[in-house]
Amino acid sequence: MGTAAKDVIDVQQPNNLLLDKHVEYICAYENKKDDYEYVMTEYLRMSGIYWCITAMDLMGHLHKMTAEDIIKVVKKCQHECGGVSPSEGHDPHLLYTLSAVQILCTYDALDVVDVDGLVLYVSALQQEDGSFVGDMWGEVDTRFSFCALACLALLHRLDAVDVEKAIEFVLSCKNFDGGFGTKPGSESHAGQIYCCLGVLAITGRLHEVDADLLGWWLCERQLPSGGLNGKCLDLAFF
Amino acid sequence: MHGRLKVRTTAEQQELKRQERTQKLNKFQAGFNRASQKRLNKEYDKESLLITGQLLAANPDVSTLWNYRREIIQHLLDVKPKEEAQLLCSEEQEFLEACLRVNPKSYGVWHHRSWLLNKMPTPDWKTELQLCNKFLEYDERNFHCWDYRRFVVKQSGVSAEEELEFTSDKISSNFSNYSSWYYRSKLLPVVHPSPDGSGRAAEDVLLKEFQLVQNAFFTDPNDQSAWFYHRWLLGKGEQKLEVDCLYVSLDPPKIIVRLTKPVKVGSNGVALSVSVQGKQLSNVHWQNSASSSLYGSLWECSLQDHLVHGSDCQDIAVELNSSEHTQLVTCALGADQSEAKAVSSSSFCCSEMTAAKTETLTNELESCKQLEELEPNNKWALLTIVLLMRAIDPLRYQDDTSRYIEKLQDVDSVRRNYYRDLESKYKIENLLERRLHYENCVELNGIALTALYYMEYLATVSEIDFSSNKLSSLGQCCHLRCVKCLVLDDNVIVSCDGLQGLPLLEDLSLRNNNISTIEGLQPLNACAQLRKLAINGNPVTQTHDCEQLKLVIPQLSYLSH
Repeated sequence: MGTAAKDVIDVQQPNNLLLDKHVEYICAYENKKDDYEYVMTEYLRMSGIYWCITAMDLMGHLHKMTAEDIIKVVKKCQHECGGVSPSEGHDPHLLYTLSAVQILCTYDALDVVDVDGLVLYVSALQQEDGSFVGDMWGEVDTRFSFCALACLALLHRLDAVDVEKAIEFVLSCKNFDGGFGTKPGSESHAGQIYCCLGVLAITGRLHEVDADLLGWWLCERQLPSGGLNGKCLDLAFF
Repeated sequence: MHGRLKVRTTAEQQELKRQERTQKLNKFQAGFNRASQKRLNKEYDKESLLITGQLLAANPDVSTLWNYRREIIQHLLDVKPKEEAQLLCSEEQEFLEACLRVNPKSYGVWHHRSWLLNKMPTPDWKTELQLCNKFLEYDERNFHCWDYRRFVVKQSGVSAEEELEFTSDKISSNFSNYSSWYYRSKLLPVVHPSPDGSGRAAEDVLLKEFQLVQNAFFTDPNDQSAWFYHRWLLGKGEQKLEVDCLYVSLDPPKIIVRLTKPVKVGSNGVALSVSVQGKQLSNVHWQNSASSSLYGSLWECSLQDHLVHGSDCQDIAVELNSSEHTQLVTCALGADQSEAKAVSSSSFCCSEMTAAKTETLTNELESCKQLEELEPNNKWALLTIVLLMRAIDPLRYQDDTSRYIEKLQDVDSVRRNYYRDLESKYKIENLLERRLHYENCVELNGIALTALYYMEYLATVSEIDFSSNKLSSLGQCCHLRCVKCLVLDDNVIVSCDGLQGLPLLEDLSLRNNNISTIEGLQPLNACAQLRKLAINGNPVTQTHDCEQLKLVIPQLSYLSH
């Protein structure tokens, strides 16, 4: 009887954040283009690049990444429809369109892509109920609401979509525990919560969140190991 | 030697693995390139299905391949007769099920399946439901599966009652089932709606739920699911939109309106209109206290040129017009009065206010206390007891609440800062319950406050004392629109951010805090009426002298250093 808590306990973990090793690891990725993991994650490459350069930027080592090469890659991945794919030879998708815009903003290089095209692509993905699909194949998810609004906010083009409806949809995904799920009726999950709070922060509507209740749900994600899980009773992952 | 196992060395193992991976990689690359070529040539045939199938079975997250596969299937559906089309779809269903067995949490697979079911000539929704049940047996927390199940339910018209039954079965076989309890929270108000139209479930049904959830947490007091669900059952009351306070002052001539909820005043929002002596004013410019936001619960406007000194009684009326609520509030400024206010007679609604009946709450409190006797260090029981006491009668249970929160900080120390903030919130709520915020002077010192809540409710107070607490941030002080004298000694404040623009602040004391930079004092530059400041005992006094500080805040006449 009783629920065994899922958690990771590692008695040999280091006590300091080994920043230099993180820098080395990320830098090395640029030279591992034939590596198994590198190729197998081609389908999310644009986001991978964004995570790497942001991490390097936070650590103060952005200059170690080759900006020109990265910007070239981004430019090559914009399709005729205006959207951006994760890598060459892949289809465009909202997830990678956001990552691309984030990368270009980091390098202050938005002028290398067709910004109007981006805006057109993103705004066309909004549905009647205010939600956003990820691409023409129709998957609805609050992650995509965040991708769309964050993208347009960075481009200063929020006027291109129905922001009120977008907010309405996100709020319809609010749950009894104060959290948010992928769609109306979906269970709360930390990743989705991040996206929904992002939408509400961008649009000045954070007061619609029960901050204390959600804050409590979120702090209950911390497990004895110190790690955080994504939802109730899961293993630490964040 | 015969019979002896050959054991590979680590180096050999690693090399083998590397070779395996290189092989896999090359196979994948070759396959992907072939598929891409065929797609460019618009080839939608058996070979395309085969190749994409092999690639996706190993790598279901490559959405481009699913896209191509959909193009292939769509083409085949367009050209094949109905029976063949149906067969094709069934085969695709089998393929997807095989993918799910390997990767039950791939967005790509589940989305493709829902796309397929929408395209099938004759979809069998019962099979789909069974598939969901099967996968929920493997992992009852798989939210992809639950989402897919909701899609199937919607498409096939399964009733909410049947789904509620399903959650009952799941819960009776295993109480620790957050996903089932969660789904239940959505279904209950649909199947058994409360006749009051509140959107909650009917009272008698809720009582049975309390029984159910109690069984759960008595069986396993450490199962979070039941406790979270219990908190939901208590039901957060809906805060109704109302005017809580109308305040008028002569010097400076202005009105402050406090509402019970944040709203947007103006176009596309709520309307607030003002009349003085029966005449409605035009061109009223409303500003909210949280100036960075369009939404707020505290709104202010100037009555310059509309209020007269030395006049007989002046009548001021404010009308709130929203889709939710319309209300007229009036206030009379007497002949020799410089300020007046009209306050709501409704009692303050604390955060743990519930829609549940007192009898129910009292029963729940009893049960939780019984559990506490069995498990004195169970943080869920302790926290739920606190929530129940606050819901029943915050002032009556004041001391008990403090005791329990102290115990929680000990028993669940990882979250001690949450409990400290919670206690701070309750202490301020108690002040508001006592209606002490309608006085001119408010003291909340020496009570270990770690954060400030409900500062909008102190908007009309002129003297405030928050000394000897644990405050580090003053962000919420932007709502203190009438404060003249503010005492913040003996806290851990680092910056005056939040005080800028306070229109009436004259006298500020910040002795013994943690302000260590000039930047920390910079916001005070924007307090036009500030004349007296005390900052003794802050690190910044070690590095900067009076003259330097006076440059930042030139309007001061007295600086205690």
